[in-house]
Amino acid sequence: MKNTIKEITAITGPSSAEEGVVKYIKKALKGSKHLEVRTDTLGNLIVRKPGKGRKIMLAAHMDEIGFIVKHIDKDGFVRFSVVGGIYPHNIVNNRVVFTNGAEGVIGIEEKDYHYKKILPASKMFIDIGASSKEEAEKIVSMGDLAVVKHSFSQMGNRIASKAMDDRIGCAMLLELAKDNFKTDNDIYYVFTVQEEVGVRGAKTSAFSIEPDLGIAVDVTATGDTPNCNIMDVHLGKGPTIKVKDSGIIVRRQVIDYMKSIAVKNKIPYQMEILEGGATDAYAIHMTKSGILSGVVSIPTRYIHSKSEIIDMDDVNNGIKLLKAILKDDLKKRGF
Amino acid sequence: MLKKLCDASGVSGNEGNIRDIIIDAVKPHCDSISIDKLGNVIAFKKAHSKKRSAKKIMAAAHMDEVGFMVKSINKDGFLSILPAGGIDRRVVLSKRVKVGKDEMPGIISYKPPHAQSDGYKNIPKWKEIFVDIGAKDKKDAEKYVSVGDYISFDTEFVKKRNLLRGKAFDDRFGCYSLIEILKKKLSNDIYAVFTVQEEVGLRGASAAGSAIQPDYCIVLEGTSAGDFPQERDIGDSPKMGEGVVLTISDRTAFSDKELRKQTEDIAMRLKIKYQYKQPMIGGTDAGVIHLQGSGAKSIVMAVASRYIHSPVSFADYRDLKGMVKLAYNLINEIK
Amino acid sequence: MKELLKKMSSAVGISGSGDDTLETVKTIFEDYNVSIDCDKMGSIRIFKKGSRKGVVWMSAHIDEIGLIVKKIEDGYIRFGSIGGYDEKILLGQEVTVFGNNQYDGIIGCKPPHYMERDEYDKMLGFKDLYIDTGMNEETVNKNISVGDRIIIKHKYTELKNDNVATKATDNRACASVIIKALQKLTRVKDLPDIYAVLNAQEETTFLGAATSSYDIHPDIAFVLDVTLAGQPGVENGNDMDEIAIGKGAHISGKLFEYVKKQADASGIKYAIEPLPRGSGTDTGAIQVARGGTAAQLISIPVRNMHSPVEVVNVKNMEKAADFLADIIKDIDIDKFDTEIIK
Repeated sequence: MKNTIKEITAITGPSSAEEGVVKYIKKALKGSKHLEVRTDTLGNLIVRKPGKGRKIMLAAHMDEIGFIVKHIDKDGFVRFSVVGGIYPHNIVNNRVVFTNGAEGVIGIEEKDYHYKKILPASKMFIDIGASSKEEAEKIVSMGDLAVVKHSFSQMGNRIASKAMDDRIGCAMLLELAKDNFKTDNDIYYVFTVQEEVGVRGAKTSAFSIEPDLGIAVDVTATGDTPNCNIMDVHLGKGPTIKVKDSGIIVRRQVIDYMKSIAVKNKIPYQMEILEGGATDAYAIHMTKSGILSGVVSIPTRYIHSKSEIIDMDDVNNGIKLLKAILKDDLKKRGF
Repeated sequence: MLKKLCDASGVSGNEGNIRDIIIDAVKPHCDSISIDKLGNVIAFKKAHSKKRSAKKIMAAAHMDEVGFMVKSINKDGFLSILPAGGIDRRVVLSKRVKVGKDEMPGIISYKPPHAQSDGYKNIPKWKEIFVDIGAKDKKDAEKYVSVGDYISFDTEFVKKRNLLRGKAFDDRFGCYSLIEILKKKLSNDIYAVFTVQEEVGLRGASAAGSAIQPDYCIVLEGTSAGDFPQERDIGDSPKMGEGVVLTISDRTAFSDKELRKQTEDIAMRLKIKYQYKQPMIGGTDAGVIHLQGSGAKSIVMAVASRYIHSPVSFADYRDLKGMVKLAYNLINEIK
Repeated sequence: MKELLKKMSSAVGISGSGDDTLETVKTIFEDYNVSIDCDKMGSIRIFKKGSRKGVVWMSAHIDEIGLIVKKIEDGYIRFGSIGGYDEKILLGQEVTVFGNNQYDGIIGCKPPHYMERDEYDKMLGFKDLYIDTGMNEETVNKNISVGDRIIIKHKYTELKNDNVATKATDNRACASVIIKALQKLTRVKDLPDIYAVLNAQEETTFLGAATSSYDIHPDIAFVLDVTLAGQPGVENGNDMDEIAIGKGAHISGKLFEYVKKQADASGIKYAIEPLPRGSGTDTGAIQVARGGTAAQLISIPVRNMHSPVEVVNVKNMEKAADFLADIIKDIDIDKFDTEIIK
């Protein structure tokens, strides 16, 4: 599992350029005869484990936040826009990697810069080592996408990397998909696109699948660092069952159900209220006449930075919790 | 036709005038036309040949323009206004407007500099900006206007060689292009949709898109040009007169990569000049259309216009002709 | 109407858990020939079968703003909000916490006597406030957990001139109006199908309106919500004895013309509510659901919006219910349908 996480977080896959992640997951699922694999119009990867029972959709998004080229200046510096929720203070002097493999460093306009003041991304640029416009244009063009460069640190049971949001969810779904456990449920593992720019892939895939239960598997913030915001979520104390975020107030029925599964299987869990932020569940539960949806999240520190930290215990317990739900007879539970 | 379209008033929510012009123009050329419950015009035209794509193609342009609504009438007969759509309040002062159904002349007024001793440099708030129709007092004004009446800019369209000057280029250019396309023989069936209320939240397109659920979506627009004088070398595209503007991405959608490639290939083959819009700026009807149903492959084309969302804009006629040609050929060549 | 408003406003329904509102509604309609159910997203639907073609919808959101347990610290409850309470009204409120049982509590903060000089002028927000239940830490931990709902205690209070102060007037006042209108319409023959829908989760994402209107797919929709009434600080607010008829984005131009004509004919006191950029109500979600619906927003003025003492005029509600029933009775659905030109 750790190795999967290392490999899958290393892939460059900003919103709208998730192909690398698709390729990786497809390859990993090669030989899994129990699955049907397809991609849809927007690029979502839909992996189905067919069954006669209730339809469950699990969603994890493949895309990560990043940068897009909007201009190359006469000296070969690249001006960019951000794709998704980039915090300007997290990216100054970061290394970045483009989808074509080219690398660069984010610089900042010094004249307006003071270390006490955070400038917007519009005052930054990417230095790709070119010394003229002509030279730079050979390396990147308008519309090319980039992400922060991957580095992977293991600190005991905890690991840090870019793009844990939400490759950790992808890795969990991948693990579950490979496992041909016994169940009657009709399971859709959906690896979605463009979550970071407005939960877009989940919207169209939920429409075509129209599940009886939707579960987004994503990261959530924690409240366990020095002098932090009020939040009762701790790294290592279990995956969370979401109560609410900006996009969804999870229906009581779903919360109670998830809790009961965790209790029955003795899986540690935490209740999560996230201020700010939403997941694919937002799009799923708004679909058509409404789809009962919930979220299982992995507590993650420093979300939307190059160093998102998770705890492996939470990941393993998250997989356990999801598997128990997938194996359960959902018809009996009123879904 | 272009003059007629641009000179007519059609503020978001009040597109009746534009609708009438369009229906008159396309009626002889379409197989069916309907006005839906929101006021969108949905014109369907069959391909002239039997060999046509099985895919549903929707092309959209919005009929509405930015403007104002009467908020209240004060005791002296001046009209308080609210903006409909995104308008910079620094651009509206001392402009001519047309008020209400009868298009009464009005002037946007703000206290003169002599009376601004308390804050010459303050930007007037909407509640300090009034429309003067020359009424004596509230009672007199009420004879001509009521709360909720729409107000549009009063600007005359002028064409001098290739330079176009006028208002509402966003998006009468799109409407004009769609009309021109509908006049021609087509090799694919097309749903040409003239939408309402784009400027106030892509309202019309949401409804029409969910009714049609297309496989392909082509949105034709007037977009903000970037070739204004600026000190920093941080991006100046798209430029007026430099060809059809293709969107790579904006805040609401990423154009489909294959569809964009196909469009570029057509442009190169037919020697139609094209350029890119800077990514992640603005949004269009494509944002909601491409997420309807199971999703659509979308592309946005536009004419670069200077000073859109203001009383008067500039654009180059050749760019508009280029857009008509490019969109027409793309529609024909979708497989 | 007063009785109805009292019942409706007392029911508990914070966004996401509209539970005892359903029972309340069922009791109210005991003697009427309508069917009532609750869809899976929590919207309550009261249906009256008609004899004419078409589906007319009227709705008001049933959820109210509230509070939620975010964390328990040494027996004190840290909380956040669901929907938008003004944080400035919270200090010193009495609350009910819905844990394993219902628990009383008080919203407190560090007392002024202990504050440093520079702390006096600061606004107190959620990060400064907590709920004290007076119970010991162990009992709190055992019975209350993250995600439990909290409401501010209220008392239905009658003021002068038929004005009433209570919690959740936004939007139970409107829910009461459509209930009353439907009750009146049950006595009318030859109507289209009518749905009175009490939508969930308006205060957060318009979820209930989006999903229930997709499901029911009405031809015409009347949405009732509250709007700002005039009060000190609210200069352009509506009078307490008038209704506001919305015009602008989200609203069908044709339907507006019809409603305005009816209003002029009936003599009801009304104002036009200009909404060029939309309304921030369920109307927007219903307007674009499944190919689009002709929607109209009608608003009832309320003072002190988003507080536990929202004031509404009951006589005005009564008039609104009569008006709503009348415009539905007289409506010709075909006029608002998709128009086929060719």
